[in-house]
Amino acid sequence: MEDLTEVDEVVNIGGGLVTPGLVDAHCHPVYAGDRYAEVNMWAKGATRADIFAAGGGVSTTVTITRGTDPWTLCNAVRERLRHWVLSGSTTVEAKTGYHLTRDGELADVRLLRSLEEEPGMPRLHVTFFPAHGVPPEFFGRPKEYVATAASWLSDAAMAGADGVDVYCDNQQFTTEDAHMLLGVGQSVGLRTTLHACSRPRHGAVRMAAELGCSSVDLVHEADDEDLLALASTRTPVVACPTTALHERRTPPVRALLDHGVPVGLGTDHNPGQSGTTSMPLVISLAVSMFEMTVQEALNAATAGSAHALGLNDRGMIAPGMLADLVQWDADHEGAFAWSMGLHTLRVWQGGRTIH
Amino acid sequence: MTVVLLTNIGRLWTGIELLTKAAILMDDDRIAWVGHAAELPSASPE
Repeated sequence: MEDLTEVDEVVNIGGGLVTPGLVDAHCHPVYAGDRYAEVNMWAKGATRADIFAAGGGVSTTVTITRGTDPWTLCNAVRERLRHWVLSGSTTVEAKTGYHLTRDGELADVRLLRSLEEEPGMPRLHVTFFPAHGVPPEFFGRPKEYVATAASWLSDAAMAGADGVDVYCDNQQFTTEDAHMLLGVGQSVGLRTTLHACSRPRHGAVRMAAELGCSSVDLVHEADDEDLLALASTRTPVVACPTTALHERRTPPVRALLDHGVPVGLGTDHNPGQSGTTSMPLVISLAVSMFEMTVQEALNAATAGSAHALGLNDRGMIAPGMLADLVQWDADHEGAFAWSMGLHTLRVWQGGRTIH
Repeated sequence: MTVVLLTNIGRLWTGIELLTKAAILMDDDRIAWVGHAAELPSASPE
């Protein structure tokens, strides 16, 4: 371009606030049904064991999702993904994990890759997640399921998955299971994430850091050794304040930042705990719960999340970066802390207005 | 190829720094230029 006379459109922002498009680095949008009754049990003080004993948990959603026809599931996921865009997220990490069969999980990958091509959808980072739980047909045989799921990973990469995740806590997969699955994932070219949920297996976070995982997520109970391992390997952490609220445990985000650990943020939208698709709400909560400044939280929700996903072409506004931007209904970034869900006025993705 | 200029941005968080009275030039799907609006004419990209 020689000069400004070649500009096709001029947009007057009117003195308002503009940031990069937000990046949700952790969510579970591919499911059918809801678990409101279960959430009500949580609210009354039920434990995870109580929920499982009552027949709830991930397996409930697996049953409903398996019984939902593909078109109904596709329409639900499309409508759900649109909510992220409306609240300012231009990139979303989207996990599979509610079919837990080879064909169902691979279909979820293809569904997400297909939806991403439609107008008005966020850009997606697709994470293959068969290790979300042990499916009913493998109850009592978790090792056999882990070996089976590992054999699906090369197909997942071929189907368009960007990464693989393993849920590792005392009621899901062991550190050894996670090490094996993540190692296979790396060997087929997938980015690797450890889902270090409510009560992570001892040593799992350190294993993931030493293995060179792309990110370790949630880390509600990370200890000092975990923190040092993450810091020494510069392994990114994705923190999800809505889940921390739900679990009533706060990850050591301030200490992670102070030790130089890269931090991203996510909604952890899922049918059992958190229904929010709003990264502006996540920023507000990160400021109030994680002792982050507004700029730290904004940075985590943009460049930090993009870094955790290995997407180095977004999350910042600089020459050569993707033109993913948001104009907010505010004239100062402090509004993120105050609003508990700042509203968007306009969203651009790749230079085009999509909201 | 579409070139869009965003002007009169009161506060712009770039991910690197906070700018006031800023402008952004988008060239197709990429950011072509970002900075203080007053510097735009002389800094427009080639």
